[in-house]
Amino acid sequence: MTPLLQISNLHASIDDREILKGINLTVNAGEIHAIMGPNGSGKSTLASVLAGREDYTVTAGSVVFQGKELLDLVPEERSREGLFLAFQYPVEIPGVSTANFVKTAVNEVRKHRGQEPLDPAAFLALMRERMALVEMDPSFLQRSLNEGFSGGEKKRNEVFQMAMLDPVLSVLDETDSGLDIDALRIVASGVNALRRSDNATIVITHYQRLLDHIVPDFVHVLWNGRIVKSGDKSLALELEQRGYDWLKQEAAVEA
Amino acid sequence: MSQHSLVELAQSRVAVHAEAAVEAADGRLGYLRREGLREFVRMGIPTTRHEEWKYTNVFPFIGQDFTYRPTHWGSVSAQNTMPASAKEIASALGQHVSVRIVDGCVIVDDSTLPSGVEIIELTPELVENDAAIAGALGSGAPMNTHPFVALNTALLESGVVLRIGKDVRVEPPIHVSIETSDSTSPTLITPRLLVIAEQGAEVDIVQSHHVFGEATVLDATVVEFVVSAMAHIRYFKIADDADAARSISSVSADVHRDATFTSHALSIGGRFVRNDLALRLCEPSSQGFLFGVSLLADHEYTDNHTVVDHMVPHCHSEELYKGIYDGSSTGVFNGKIYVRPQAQKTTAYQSNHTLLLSSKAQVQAKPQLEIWADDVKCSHGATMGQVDEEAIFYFRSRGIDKDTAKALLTYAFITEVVEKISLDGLRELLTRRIARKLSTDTLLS
Amino acid sequence: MDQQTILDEIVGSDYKYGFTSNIEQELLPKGLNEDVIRFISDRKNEPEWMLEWRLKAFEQWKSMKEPMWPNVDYPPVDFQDIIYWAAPKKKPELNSLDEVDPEILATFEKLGIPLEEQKVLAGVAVDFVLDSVSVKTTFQDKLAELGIIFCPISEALENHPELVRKYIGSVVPTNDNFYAALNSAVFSDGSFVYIPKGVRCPIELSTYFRINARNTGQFERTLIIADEGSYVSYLEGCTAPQRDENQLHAAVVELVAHDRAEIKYSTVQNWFPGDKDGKGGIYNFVTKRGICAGVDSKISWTQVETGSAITWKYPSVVLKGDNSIGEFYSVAVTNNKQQADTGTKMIHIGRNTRSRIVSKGISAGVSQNSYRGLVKVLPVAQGARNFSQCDSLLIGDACGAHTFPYLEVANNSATVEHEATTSKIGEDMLFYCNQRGIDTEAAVALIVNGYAREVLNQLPMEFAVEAQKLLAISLEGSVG
Repeated sequence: MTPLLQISNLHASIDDREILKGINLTVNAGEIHAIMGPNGSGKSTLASVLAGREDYTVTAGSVVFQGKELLDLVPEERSREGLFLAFQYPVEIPGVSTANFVKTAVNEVRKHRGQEPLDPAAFLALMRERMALVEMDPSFLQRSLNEGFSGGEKKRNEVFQMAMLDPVLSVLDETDSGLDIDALRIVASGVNALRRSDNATIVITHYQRLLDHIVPDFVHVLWNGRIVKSGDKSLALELEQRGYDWLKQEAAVEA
Repeated sequence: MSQHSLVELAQSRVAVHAEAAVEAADGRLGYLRREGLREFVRMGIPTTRHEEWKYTNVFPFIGQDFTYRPTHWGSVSAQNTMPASAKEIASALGQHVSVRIVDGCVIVDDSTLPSGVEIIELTPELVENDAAIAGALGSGAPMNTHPFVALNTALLESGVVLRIGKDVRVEPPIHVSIETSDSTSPTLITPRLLVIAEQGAEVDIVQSHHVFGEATVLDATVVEFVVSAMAHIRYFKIADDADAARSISSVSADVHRDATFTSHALSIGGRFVRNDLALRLCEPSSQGFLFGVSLLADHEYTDNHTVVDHMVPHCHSEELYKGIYDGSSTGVFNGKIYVRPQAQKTTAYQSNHTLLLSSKAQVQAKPQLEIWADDVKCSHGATMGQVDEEAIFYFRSRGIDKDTAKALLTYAFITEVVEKISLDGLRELLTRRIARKLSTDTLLS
Repeated sequence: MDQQTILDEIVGSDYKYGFTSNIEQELLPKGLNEDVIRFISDRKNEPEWMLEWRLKAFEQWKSMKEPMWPNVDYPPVDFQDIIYWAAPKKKPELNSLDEVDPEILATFEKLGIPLEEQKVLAGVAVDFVLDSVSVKTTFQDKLAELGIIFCPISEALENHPELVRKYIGSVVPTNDNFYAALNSAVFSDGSFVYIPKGVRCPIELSTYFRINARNTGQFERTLIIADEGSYVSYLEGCTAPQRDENQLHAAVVELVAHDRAEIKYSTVQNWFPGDKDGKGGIYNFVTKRGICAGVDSKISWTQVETGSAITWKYPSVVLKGDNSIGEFYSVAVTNNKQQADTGTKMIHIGRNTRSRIVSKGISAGVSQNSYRGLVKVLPVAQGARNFSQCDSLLIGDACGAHTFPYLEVANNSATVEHEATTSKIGEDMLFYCNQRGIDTEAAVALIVNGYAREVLNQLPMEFAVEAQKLLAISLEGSVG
């Protein structure tokens, strides 16, 4: 089986400072991968590099996504190919309603796939249905995108957009940060509802808590720009109990 | 004194010094005086056709025959004549360092001077021998755009240099009391202060102006601040109630890396107060906080002109000016935020709020943003109105009569700014003064 | 691709309405003197008093100086190097479209002006000014039934001289400012609207201006009077051909609203802004002012300004009648080397007068965009209220946005609120849109239309759609 995503020896830096120092990761369809690690280990950088944020320079390596070199594509092409990044800090865009934004995005993706734009009625119905997944009130559709949304509302809006765009690979960047337990449960159930055998999810998180709700097939520990340990979900529990220090020492010894 | 005679005065003073000194030894100070004169002649006395003086008309008083009291250094003997209003501030400050400029005569009480603080007489020799002072003097004050700064500079013969040494945190505030005692003839004074806070220094400076008599006093004070890296200066300028004062004061501050300049323009009255404040954030991570209170009644007049110049990236400025205008008073606020092309990541906020208490009171506001960089967050807001009728009704419904309600709400309006005064004694004094002026003192006690 | 590359790559979106029509024209030699004014007045068969009025304005103009205070910078205008009269030679006397010069019709087509029958039936009456003389007016008969006068001002001078004489110069006096004086002396034509008492004008009145003849200054004069209890919505839209020489445009618009009358005046201005190097482009020095003369009257200005090399324009309202309302909604876009100094004046005189200002500036390229506005509350304006919102949006790092509000309040029962913000279309915003599959150009259009929504909502429907497209076109290639 061809993997959905194949990251090989990925190096990336910002302002001449190397953050990713050789990431290798394979994600197959139907899988959920969790990437954990202490602050500053490079977790969010990995998400940003996958989505194509220009602040980062890729200095070596490749990322093959559904047989295409992802790094050759501009951010909107990556999105249209089916890569979705749920932002850690979703941006507020004053004056642009959530409905208008999502409609524009969905129609861009449809155009890319050679589909006709959805008619307004069908679109509205679809939006209402997908909003229900994350228990979002339809009144949010008319509000400016993320403007004045609480932290939890912003994250639910991210998952709602994920549901609308129907990505092949979703990268959730610390989607749990700042959420209370109720919001976390809602967000997680939204993500779980979208899980299929032909898509995959990478969950980036600092805490084991989220993984009680979104159960990963694999857990990877990122430290100092490298994946230093991989395992199943029990690794997350072990990290919860023992912290990261033992891994750092292990990694230091190996290095 | 007409423009002509002011020019003549400046010309003659500049000439005296030029003759006294050999051309070469005249140095930086002589150069500044000549430049000041040239600029003053070029600009002349500003008319209300001048954009920056649109609302501020100096002509009703500028024609008087002023006696010029040049700045010079004297002895401690005049101590006992301190006016009551100055004493009130001095006692509110508790232990402090006292610098008085009485009719131009500088009197320093250095008995309480902490180590690391210098209060120095500004002389040609000092300017020639101290590169830091020579570099700072005249570099911030807007001599080329402000006619009265040009006049002050043309008449720059002596002055006060305050220097706070590296990493010195000055506990007692420094009180600069600018007084005029002549009650019979119109007086012109042109005090000049240069404050240099060296790296990491911290100091509070309280400047107040006091006029004794009935005769007009034209007070054209110029203060320049250099706030070196990581230094913090808090500056309080208090305008006196005196009817005879015509205060045209110009303050400039150059703020360097990680340093902060905080200013409070506190006008609890004043027949004619014009404050110009030019803040330059000239190194990254510098910050400026500008606060102002203008509480005016009768025919009082206060014009606050501020310019915040964001010269480099990552600087922050905040400005909050509030005015309450009663009687036939007029308040002016003219605030400019200027963000230069390279000053990315600037955050600059300005707000100006006014309550008009009487039908004859007026307000003029010109809050301006001039933005030349793109990655910035800047805003300004200005409101003018009255005490909220809804709030008054709420008070009345709880049994508080209308006048009391209005007074309390008016007082509450201004306290937001007064609360920012970090010196406890001064804050309490200002609070009392404001309460007295609003006749809410009995309610609040 | 970095910002600069994107910017460089797409900046070359050329002005889409740059073409010249070859109608034979009658031109007066360049230059301005009394004889020129007499010639203009004579050609238009004006009454004697009109000539006297023009000559008085000319005298005043000669002693006035060009205003230098706006925050714009341009080479001095040589007023003797301008042609003050140009008229199509074939004097049109038209009853149907068939009689219109085919060249003109072709021009209409290119501009997409709704002059064809179906467009007219869609409810737009058009008074088309090609350079100086109105050549086609439609729906006049239908409007005449209601007593509405909508015609070229030259025609109004012939048929309704008493109305013109009563109101012309009553809002913008001949000596109001340098350009108003010049316009008063040499105005060639423009529109005249009179809505009688109690009449609601059933259609949007519309005029398209177009500067066509080479080196021809345009000096339109528009006068709209809404009598007691009447209502009119007036649309003004403009596009101009591409030129190398700078062209001067100094129009005067006067609005008079009597008791309970309402005038809604909407403008989409898309004159040639100059090329990306700042070459060519229109100088747009316009005086627009309305007076809410009667009680409960209302004047509303809405403008979408994307064109012109230099804009100097402050549509204003004098709120004289008690309870009258003045509004100003503006989107001003500057790109490349455009400069705009625009805003409004709200003068509160009557009791309980209200004004609202919503100004949205968008600066891109190396342009400069200034808001300048005055809110003045006179001592007699008991209970006056104003709210102003002035926002600036910056695109790219080489442009400037400036806000110069003047607030003068001399009545303590007045409430004046002013808010202003400056922000940029941030990279984080664009990246977020990119990540959702929206490319950068589309993202800018989306964000800008959202930002300007409050103003665009004020436009009549057919204009709003056009304006939205215009915003996107104006900002093509400005991304950063």
